[in-house]
Amino acid sequence: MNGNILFIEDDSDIRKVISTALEDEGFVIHQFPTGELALEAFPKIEIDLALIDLRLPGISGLEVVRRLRSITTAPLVILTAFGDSYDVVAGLEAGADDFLGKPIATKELSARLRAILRRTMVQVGEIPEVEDIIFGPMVLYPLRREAIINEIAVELTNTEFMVLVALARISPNAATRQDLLEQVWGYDYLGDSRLVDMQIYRLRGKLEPHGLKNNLVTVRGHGFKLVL
Amino acid sequence: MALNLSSRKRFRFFKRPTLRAKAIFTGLLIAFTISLVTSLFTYQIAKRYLTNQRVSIATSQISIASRLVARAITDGNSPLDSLLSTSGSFPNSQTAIRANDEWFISKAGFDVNLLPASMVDLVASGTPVRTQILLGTTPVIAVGIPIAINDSSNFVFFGTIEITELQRTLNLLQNIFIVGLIFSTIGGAFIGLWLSRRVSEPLKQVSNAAERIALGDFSIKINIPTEPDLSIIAKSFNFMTKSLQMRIAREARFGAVVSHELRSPLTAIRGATDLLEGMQSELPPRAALSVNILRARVISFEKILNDLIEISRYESGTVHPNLESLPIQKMLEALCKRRSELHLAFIDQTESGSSFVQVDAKRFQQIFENLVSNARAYAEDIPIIRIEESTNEVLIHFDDSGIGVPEDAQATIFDPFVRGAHHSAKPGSGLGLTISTEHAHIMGGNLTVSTSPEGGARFTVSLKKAEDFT
Repeated sequence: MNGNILFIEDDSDIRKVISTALEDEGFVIHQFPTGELALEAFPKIEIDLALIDLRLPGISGLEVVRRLRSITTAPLVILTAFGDSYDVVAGLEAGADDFLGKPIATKELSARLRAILRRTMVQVGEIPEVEDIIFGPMVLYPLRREAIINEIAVELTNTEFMVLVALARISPNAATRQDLLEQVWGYDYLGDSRLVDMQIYRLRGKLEPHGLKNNLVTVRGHGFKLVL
Repeated sequence: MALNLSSRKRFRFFKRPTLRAKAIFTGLLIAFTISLVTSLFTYQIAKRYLTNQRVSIATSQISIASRLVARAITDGNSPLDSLLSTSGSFPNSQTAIRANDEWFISKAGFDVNLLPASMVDLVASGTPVRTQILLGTTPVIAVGIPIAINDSSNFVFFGTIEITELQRTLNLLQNIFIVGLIFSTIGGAFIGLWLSRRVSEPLKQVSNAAERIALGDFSIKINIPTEPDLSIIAKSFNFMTKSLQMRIAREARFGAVVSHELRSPLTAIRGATDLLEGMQSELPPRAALSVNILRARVISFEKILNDLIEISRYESGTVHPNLESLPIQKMLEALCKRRSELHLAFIDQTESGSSFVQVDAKRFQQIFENLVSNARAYAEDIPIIRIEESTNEVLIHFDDSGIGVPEDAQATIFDPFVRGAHHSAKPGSGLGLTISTEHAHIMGGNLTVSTSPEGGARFTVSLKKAEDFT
């Protein structure tokens, strides 16, 4: 699988080593030492995923996440210091879809990136076992990654779209946070439920103008469900 | 556990009741002493003044009377009885003359036998006497004057003047002073109380603040009282809090910088060794050996660094767990799947596994990995993981068949930097169990050690059950 990865890391050794390792694993890496350079080059490259170190000289990693989020639907993965809860929350709020603690073994890193890409990339030549999902005024086209509500397209990120699809598929039943972590992020029972909560929060914001905000319901102590 | 903040003793710097009681007692004592001394002094002066005045009046009255009587005797034209009742008589007084052992009295009822014999004899011998005595029950000033009439000196004049009035005045005065003494003593106690409040209020604030600081809250500030002496305490306290706060912030910053500065090169080294390891088949054997050593050491160094950072987080109280309700069985299955050699066993299989526990998934994973790698390092065994359930908690046993943990070591094994025998040959920082214990505590659970059914060590993680929502 050839995923195009935007990699922003200021430490040149780390950048080279990780890029090399990921290239060995078959990824295509676009590496930049600063957020400025990455954002400048962004329109000229195509990416499937961005991997961003939060500690950057110049504009901060959080700001880079924020700006990238406004121009791409691709998954944004942040690299945070191991166990740093504050960075994780700030990064997710800025628009990141997932986070990885540093230092991280390259094998683990590539496995994680592959898991994310497997779920978000439209696989060329893959037999579509997915059908379009009609949910009241909303139609979801999994293959085209499109969500239409009342014939108006809704701008969703890849992750948001997949959360919506996962919920729409099992509606009116509810999905637990763990179900969503498994289906959307590819985590087993060790994922971080804050990832889910942040996506739900964003989804509600995007559904609101279309009058569907209140259809995405929190089931206390359980998870979430979509209702008509 | 030394690091467990909640179990730290609460400090009490001042026992306020004692301080207050002391202040009250001191105020009381001072007021009592001052008013007692002034009362006694004033009373004594007043008493002496009033008495002296009364005595000198009485003396002059009696001596005038004695002179009148003496002249009348010399003139010799009146009987002594009538003489006494006319010239020798004045208010509140009684007079008597002893002439040749015969007594003449001014009023009926004057019992001359009540006059002290010593006084009578002294006056009879020619010495005038003035004294205060009790005549029966009546306090009097008694004056005896020998009357010299030509050849005969056998005439003696006695006069007594009642001083009941003076006594009453002095008693009244005494009562006033006693009442004053009582009131001022009570007043002193109140002043002491007021003062102690005044002093102890800021001190109370200080002690409350100190308590909160001991529990890790550095945001607290004390209101500066108006008294200069007390405001010094408050100001220094606030200054201390602020500098403590700054120091902790500095240490945290230092920790963050150090960990970042150490991690960046480590990440690069780790990445590079990983790359080398991937090319191991292409490397000459000696280089491959070096790479293996390098990589193993880098990995353990990484782990030690993470442990140190984590332990310092617990020390500074900046660990924020991400608690969730998760199904313990599925979680353990997911963890075991990552290490195919691990197997899971259920004690009391009927119910176990469907239970949800309150857990921080990442930290539970660290406990899991720590206990598994400990078993491998120290027992050279792959532990059997057993789940056991009680009413409120789920117990997860990690049982190995090694030599176990001797009983005397069981108490200290969770302390930082404590490691088993022959530890130098084993990897690790000696912080793994400490961190695991802290992790378990922060989830509301615990980590204990006992003996496994296999005869080795049994490490048991207990986790609180969460609400069941299957």
